Amino acid sequence: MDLSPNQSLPNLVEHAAHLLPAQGPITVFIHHNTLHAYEHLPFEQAVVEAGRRFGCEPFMAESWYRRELERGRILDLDLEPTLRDCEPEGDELLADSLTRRQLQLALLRYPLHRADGMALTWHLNETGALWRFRQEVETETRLRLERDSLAYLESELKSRPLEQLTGRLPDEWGSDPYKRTPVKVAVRALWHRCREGTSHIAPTRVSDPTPVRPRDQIVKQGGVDTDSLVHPFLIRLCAAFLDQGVANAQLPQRQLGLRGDFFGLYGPGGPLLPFWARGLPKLIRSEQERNLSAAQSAEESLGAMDVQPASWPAFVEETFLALRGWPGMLEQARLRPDRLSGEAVPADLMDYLAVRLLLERCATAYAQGELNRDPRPKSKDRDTSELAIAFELFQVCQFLGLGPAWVEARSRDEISRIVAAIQSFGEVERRRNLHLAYERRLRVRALDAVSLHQPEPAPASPWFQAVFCIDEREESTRRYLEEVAPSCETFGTMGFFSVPMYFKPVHEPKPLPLCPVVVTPRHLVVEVPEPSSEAEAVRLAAARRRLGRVQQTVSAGSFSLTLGGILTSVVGAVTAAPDLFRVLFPRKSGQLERSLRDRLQVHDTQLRLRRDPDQPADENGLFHGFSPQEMSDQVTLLLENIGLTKNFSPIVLIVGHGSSSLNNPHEAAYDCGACGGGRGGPNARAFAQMCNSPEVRDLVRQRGIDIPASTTFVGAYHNTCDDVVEVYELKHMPVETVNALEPIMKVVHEARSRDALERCRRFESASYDLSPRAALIHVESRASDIAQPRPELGHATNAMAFVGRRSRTRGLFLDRRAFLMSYDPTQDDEDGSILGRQLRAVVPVGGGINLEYFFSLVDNNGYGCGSKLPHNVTGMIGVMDGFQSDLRTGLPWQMVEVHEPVRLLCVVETTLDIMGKIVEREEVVKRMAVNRWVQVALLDPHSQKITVLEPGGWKVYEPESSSIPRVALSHEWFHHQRDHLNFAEVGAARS
Amino acid sequence: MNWESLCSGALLGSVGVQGLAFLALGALMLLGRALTEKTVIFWIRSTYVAAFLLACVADVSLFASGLPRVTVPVGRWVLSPELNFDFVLQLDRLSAPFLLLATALCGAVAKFSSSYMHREVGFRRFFLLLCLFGFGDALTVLSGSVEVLYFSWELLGLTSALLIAYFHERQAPLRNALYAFIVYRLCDLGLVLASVSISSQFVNGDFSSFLGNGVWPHQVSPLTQAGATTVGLFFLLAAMGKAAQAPFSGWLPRAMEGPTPSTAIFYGALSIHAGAYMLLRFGPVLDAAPLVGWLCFFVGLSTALLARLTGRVQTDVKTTLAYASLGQVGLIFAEIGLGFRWLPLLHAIGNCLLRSVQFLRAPSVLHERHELRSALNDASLRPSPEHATAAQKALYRAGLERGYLDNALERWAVLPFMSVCRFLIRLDRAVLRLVGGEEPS
Repeated sequence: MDLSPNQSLPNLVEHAAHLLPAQGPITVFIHHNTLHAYEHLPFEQAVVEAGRRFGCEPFMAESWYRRELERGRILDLDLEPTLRDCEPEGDELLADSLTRRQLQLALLRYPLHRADGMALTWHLNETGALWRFRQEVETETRLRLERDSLAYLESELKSRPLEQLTGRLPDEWGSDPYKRTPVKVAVRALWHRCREGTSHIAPTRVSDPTPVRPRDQIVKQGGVDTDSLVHPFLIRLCAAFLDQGVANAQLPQRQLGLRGDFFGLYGPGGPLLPFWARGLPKLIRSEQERNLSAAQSAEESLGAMDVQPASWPAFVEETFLALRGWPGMLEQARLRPDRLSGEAVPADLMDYLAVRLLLERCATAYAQGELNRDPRPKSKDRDTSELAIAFELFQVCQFLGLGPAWVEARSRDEISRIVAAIQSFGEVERRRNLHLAYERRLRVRALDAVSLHQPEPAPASPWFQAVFCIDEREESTRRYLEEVAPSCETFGTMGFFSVPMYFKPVHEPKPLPLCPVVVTPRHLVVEVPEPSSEAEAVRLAAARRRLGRVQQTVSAGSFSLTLGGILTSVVGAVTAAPDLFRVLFPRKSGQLERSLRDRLQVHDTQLRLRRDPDQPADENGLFHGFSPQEMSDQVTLLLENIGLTKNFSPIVLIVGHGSSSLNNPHEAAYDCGACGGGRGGPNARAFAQMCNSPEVRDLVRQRGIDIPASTTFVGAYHNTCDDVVEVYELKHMPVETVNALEPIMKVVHEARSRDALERCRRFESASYDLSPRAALIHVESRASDIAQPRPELGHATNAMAFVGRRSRTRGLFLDRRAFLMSYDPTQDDEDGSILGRQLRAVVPVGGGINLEYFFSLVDNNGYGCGSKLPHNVTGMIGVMDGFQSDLRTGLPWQMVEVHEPVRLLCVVETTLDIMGKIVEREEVVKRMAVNRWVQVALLDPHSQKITVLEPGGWKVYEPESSSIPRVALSHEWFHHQRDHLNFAEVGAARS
Repeated sequence: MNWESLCSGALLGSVGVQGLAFLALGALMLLGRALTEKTVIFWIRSTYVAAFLLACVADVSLFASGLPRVTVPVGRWVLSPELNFDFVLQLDRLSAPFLLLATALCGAVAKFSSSYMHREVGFRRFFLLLCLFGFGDALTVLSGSVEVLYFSWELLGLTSALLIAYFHERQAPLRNALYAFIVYRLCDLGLVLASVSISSQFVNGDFSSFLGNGVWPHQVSPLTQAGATTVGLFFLLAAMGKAAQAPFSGWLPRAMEGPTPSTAIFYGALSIHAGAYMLLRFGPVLDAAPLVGWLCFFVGLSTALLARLTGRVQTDVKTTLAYASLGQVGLIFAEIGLGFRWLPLLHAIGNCLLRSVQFLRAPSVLHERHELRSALNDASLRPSPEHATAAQKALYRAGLERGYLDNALERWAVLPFMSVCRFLIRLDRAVLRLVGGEEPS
């Protein structure tokens, strides 16, 4: 067959692969932009196009935005600027003094009821639509309309009979309705004018596009949905092929690839094929005899199904998207075999396509045969009726308060223009505008807060300093540290602390990558027991192994017949007891389990961090540890990034974070995004150790950063689920450090209790009046409750990112909504080299998290993975709904339900000049900022001036408010509040 | 007050509170009352605490009284010269442990669900159905006549189907719930026929009339061998449907569509063991009909083997668990068929408890596997065999196709049935044309 090169099947498959979900195995959950494949387009265009392609929603529903409008989350004053931005030439006159923008504003304010055919007739006859003016409309406008319409009737009745003004009125209105119910008649008059006015406009016919896939053709004709036959089969096959260790008996000969395995299992024929696939073995054998490749096989199937080469691209795309999760995972398994928890699989999408098309060939042949034997009645094309056009005009007149006299006075052209304007401002357009208004309100609130807040400089000689991840969940922790100990200073940086490494914990069999997903680590750090506790470590490891074996025998055995029979009949009741206890007393059983585990683990460990500079890499190309030079590079890099280059306090805490919860397949999605969905504790520990090494300090000093000998770095780990903070290597610290640390840890403890309290305000199951102590207990029991689908809320509150000095945001209540990245513009050069590095990291990571939450919320069933409750873990790689479904990617409803769908607002403390250079230089920043996947605003380093990047370019921001509310303590601000809050200033006012 | 009346009061109460909770919740929902989650949870918790405590009281007083059974006539259902259906409940050595188990598990699952189902749109509906299920199950356990059993049996089937279809905004749950429901209805025919057959031989369907008056499991049925065989076959059919025994196993994996807690209590525990309970109850009939006993044994054994064959290749946690549970139920059937009574009773209780908690923690599998790997210090688990004989592949495929039961059912039952329907439609049209009527669109 003659094909242009980019239309060959391998190319088409490669192209379609980009559209498949890019989520890897669920054990390492990495947040990413769900629509990454569309990032080359402007956001507003991309969501609409992707929505069409994937069959998903581009924005929230119109009714949802309107509820937000009602409750004041969107203000009326947000609507007009948004419209002005979208359509600068909206001032054009449509008719009389009515502008396009006025019309659009009305359509945003009030819901336009849209229906066709029978639904419309029903609506007109059975609801009050034709005898009552729309009640949603502002009272003043409605009363004016009522007055105008009555006046019109009054004057016109002198010259014309009523029937000419209102059309035929319903008989049940009685003989003289104008006298009895004048307003009803007035409504009719307006309706009649709208009917008459639009009578010259021909309705447009909407015909569905011609289906590309034979399956769609069959379904359109009323036949069997062949996907419902093919998919269960394919799902079973893909699941078996990708399984990472759920099934006891694994798919034999996985090395042959998906197609090879399929041939091996189904080629020999054998008993009882599905009724629609009886010809399958013959097809397989014929392919085997002719030794066809997967691509040849797929090509042959396309021919057999009579798909014309011209429609191949669309066919391949739609075929892949019909069941997208499984092939997506096949592709991920091919691209990143290192992320699989078990063995690598030889996955190949062409294999998948060939198998799928063979099955589809059988199924469509069967379904077509059935259809030919028993044809179904055809469905009709829909059309927008004249009635619908008139009804839209009728509603718009009510929104705008335009009476029958006004309509009657309009020329045909004017009416046509109005109708065209209504139709061009369709549902998607309205949702887009409402969405922009929704985002605008939060942007105004955030930028007002930032620009009105007076910088609160850090204390001249801080008591202690603490470096956290930029994660928005640490915003409150930092705020409370500063609230409890005003003399401390906090910083935020990417939570892997510039230590990209594979880390092998002492209790794990396999090293894990701990760094952002775009980085591939070249260093391996191993945790080993301290020499003094080596003997104990060996003993404990043996004990753990023995226990593990028992556990394995029992849990695997309970699935077998014999051992399972003995187990269930003899000790079944006993084995269930711990879990029943767990259901009834989650926190107690969690504590018990933890103490048991603690007893079985060796705690006195060290990191093999240092290597000699000349020590070569191992056989995997990994260096075991870092050389002093590499360590000093990393230390310098990080300290420069956050601007901590002088004024060191005696103790500097380095706090990594992660999250642990039970019964939660999405557990990894709560971990540190900067660690690639891992837990950042080891990075913090490694970084602290590097900083404490005299050798490294010497090297760092040569590069201009003098860490005084009196300063100690301390690594720590914050569990964001139960709010526990633990400190590493406490045992090996000198006494004076331990003594200095003690009061600091008291502050940390107080801060984490208050943090827990602030988190609890969001949980309906926590009462409003908890004490900080009770709040800690509450979050702890959430983390160990197997019946808890919301152990924590993860990133559900994320909305903005601030890159700049902490002094610009210190003392602001940011409601756990901001990624906070420390950056000191006064220490940067005029190219913004440091800022470039920072933005290169924060824009894709923060933006990725934000956009994944965005899309999973906007269409939870399409982009997200729906409710957690029916989820079924499959193959250790993902979840299905119920017993067999597509692999569900994205975030579950329970993670996103409280999220506000807004694009990340990045506020960067820099000048326009520097930012311009960075946008030119950094590809990812340019793509995401210019195409508006993130919103960007610049805060001038030396003033309160803010510049915002708008579709038309940079624009100076004018604050809407003149002051921000102030409270003494955060608690006063959030007390008795469950919802997202406004920003406020916290702390005593400074004169 | 003597032990007997205490016992009857307590068991009535234990069933009654669940029924009342259902009625009250249902009535309030019908009236459109906005019930908060807190209110629902409070009522459900109180209900199950009460039901469980009353079940304890009933059990204790039964044993204290030393009677073989305590029978409570609740009322008359049908009263006619030929037929006489009484609504009778009874508690004996068989129903006592099951009643305790049912109320305890329902209570535990209700506790689990009260936070698991938080903020779910169908929160109230879920608890309403859970209550109805609890009521139905307690009634099944306590039923004293075939008619009461049939009534409660249908409640179990109905709630089961409604909870599989809990996520009714998606198509798959509805389709699969319908599948389960059809199988249930088909097999429930057995119970109807049994009831008819018994009523034709005795005055009514009270257990005492055809199971004898001894102490369970030492009763002797007054049925003749032929009579016992007929009735026994009907009972077996009914039990096989609810217990997903071969060839009716196809609905079981499909039932995994519901929320995790309802899956746990239905298919890990109470519903799937109801068939076994019924056969234990009708043990005397099985004793009198050796043929049915053997059939029961073979059905159970083949189901167990099939479940093992299928379960070992399943790649998702819930289906794996469903087949593990089914395998044991198969063994329990086999034990009953062989004439054991106490062993299957123990086995059923153990299996119920173990599987329900395993289901509840099914979403933890990643966590547990990770812990296990770290304890064993071994990253690799279960590699794919590099070589496989044709027989191994055939076995693997048989498992992947769930023992070909679905395919067989579709090919030999569903499609022929559909053909007959289509033929009838054509016939209908032809007749219409013949008499000159209008063809319906």
